[in-house]
Amino acid sequence: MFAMLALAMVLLVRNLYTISLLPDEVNQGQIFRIIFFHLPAAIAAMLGSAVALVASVMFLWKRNFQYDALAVAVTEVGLAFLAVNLVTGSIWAHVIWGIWWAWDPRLTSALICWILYAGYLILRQALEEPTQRATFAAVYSIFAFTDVPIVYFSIRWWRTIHPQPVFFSKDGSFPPDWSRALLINMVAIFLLYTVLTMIRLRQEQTQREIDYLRRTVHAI
Amino acid sequence: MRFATPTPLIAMLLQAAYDPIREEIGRLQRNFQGLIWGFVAAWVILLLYTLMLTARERKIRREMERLKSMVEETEKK
Amino acid sequence: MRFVRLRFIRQVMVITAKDLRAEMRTKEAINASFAFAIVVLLILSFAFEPTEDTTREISGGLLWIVFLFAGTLILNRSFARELPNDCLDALIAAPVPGAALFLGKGLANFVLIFAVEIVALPVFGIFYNVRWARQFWSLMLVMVLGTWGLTAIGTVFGALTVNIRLREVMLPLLVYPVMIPILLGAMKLSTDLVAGQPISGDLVVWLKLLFGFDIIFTALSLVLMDTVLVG
Repeated sequence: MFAMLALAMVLLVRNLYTISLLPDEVNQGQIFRIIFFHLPAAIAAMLGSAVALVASVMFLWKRNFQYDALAVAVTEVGLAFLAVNLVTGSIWAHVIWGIWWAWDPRLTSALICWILYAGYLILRQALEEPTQRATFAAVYSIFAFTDVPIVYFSIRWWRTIHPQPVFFSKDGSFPPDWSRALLINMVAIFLLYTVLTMIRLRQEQTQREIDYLRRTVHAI
Repeated sequence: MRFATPTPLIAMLLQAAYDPIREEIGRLQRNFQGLIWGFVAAWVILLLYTLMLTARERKIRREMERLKSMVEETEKK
Repeated sequence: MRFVRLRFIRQVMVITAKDLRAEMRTKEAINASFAFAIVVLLILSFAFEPTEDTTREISGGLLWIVFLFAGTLILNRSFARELPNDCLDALIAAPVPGAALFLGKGLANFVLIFAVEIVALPVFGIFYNVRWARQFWSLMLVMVLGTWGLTAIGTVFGALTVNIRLREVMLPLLVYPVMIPILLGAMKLSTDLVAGQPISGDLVVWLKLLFGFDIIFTALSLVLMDTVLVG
């Protein structure tokens, strides 16, 4: 795990160097480089929520608490990365358009996604019995995932002020060295996501051991 | 009415020439500041989350130690 | 095969009838919901000066806020009613599939919430001086679709939150964000329908969104209701 963390750190530092050397984007200027964090964070968060969905369904099917632990870990880290996405996007908007926020479909659905998964954590806090907590949280996670496709496709379906996709679409005009830097940064951020998830996962399992020990001690 | 003397006139013309440049400099500065703030915000959020994780880790470890010692005590008895 | 399906429908009807009868005898939830809807309409009329233009712009949003709040009261009550005397355990132990329970309670809730909405509409028309009935049947369609979305989510989450502490807070907290796609569609459509425009062009997309999400949420609820009840 520490190898992954070290690799992530190395990649990020190298990318900092690379990003600063890249030529300027004509229209937007320096602020455009924020995309190197804004986009990977968004993709990581959405992949995370997909993992949470799969983990929730698997838990409801197999009743194995490892899946529940995975769901919680992935969702929590996803919240942090989605927050990064929202904040960097907001700063970007302030520099480019002069407004901090706009109620257009992509921003709104991203914010709702954040609120939904925050609600997931609040629900978990409100339920004390572990099996019930895991089951209900899994059910809620399945409902919460219905917003994620909206976040992703909102740019295609509605007119929004959010920029159109430039990387993965046909009419995107991106110089190859930018794409490579973005890919490296994406790998680094995914690694960071994975590391944080593993830490949180281990904490969840330790917590479960603690609960078990506590019950044993009180039984004796 | 006196016409403007040459020196203030030149000063006014120079001012008019520099204004767009100053504007551009301001825009670039704001742009760059925005970038810095963006990076800072991204890392601060991740740092805060990592701090939350470490705090929870400490709490869990303490709880674990406490429970382990309790189990040993009761086993000794 | 036909025999089994008839039995299913009968089970749903029994549960719906039981819920509606229980509610009609005490009328506690529905009275509170009526009163709350009227109070909210009243208070919102103080929030801004109801001129012709402002009212036309916000009518959909306002209506659905009122429906949402009033509906939450009824949804909360729906499973809370089963708590005393272990009625919830009796329901769970009954040889009824979870889907039937969901549909039964869902239909009952739908009827109650829709009743409140039907009463709230003329009150809205009176307070805000709005002729809302110009596109009556389209408006009814949107209300049916939106209310069913609210009911489907609210019934499942009602069952989910019935035993949590702070139930009355958790239910709205969980339901409202999940409802947002449905609310968006319903609000946009209602605003234009109350203003008299028929559903056409741009608005058809919202209708499709509403319909799509109703189907998704109903399907999910039918499948997951058993899990939520048994825990």
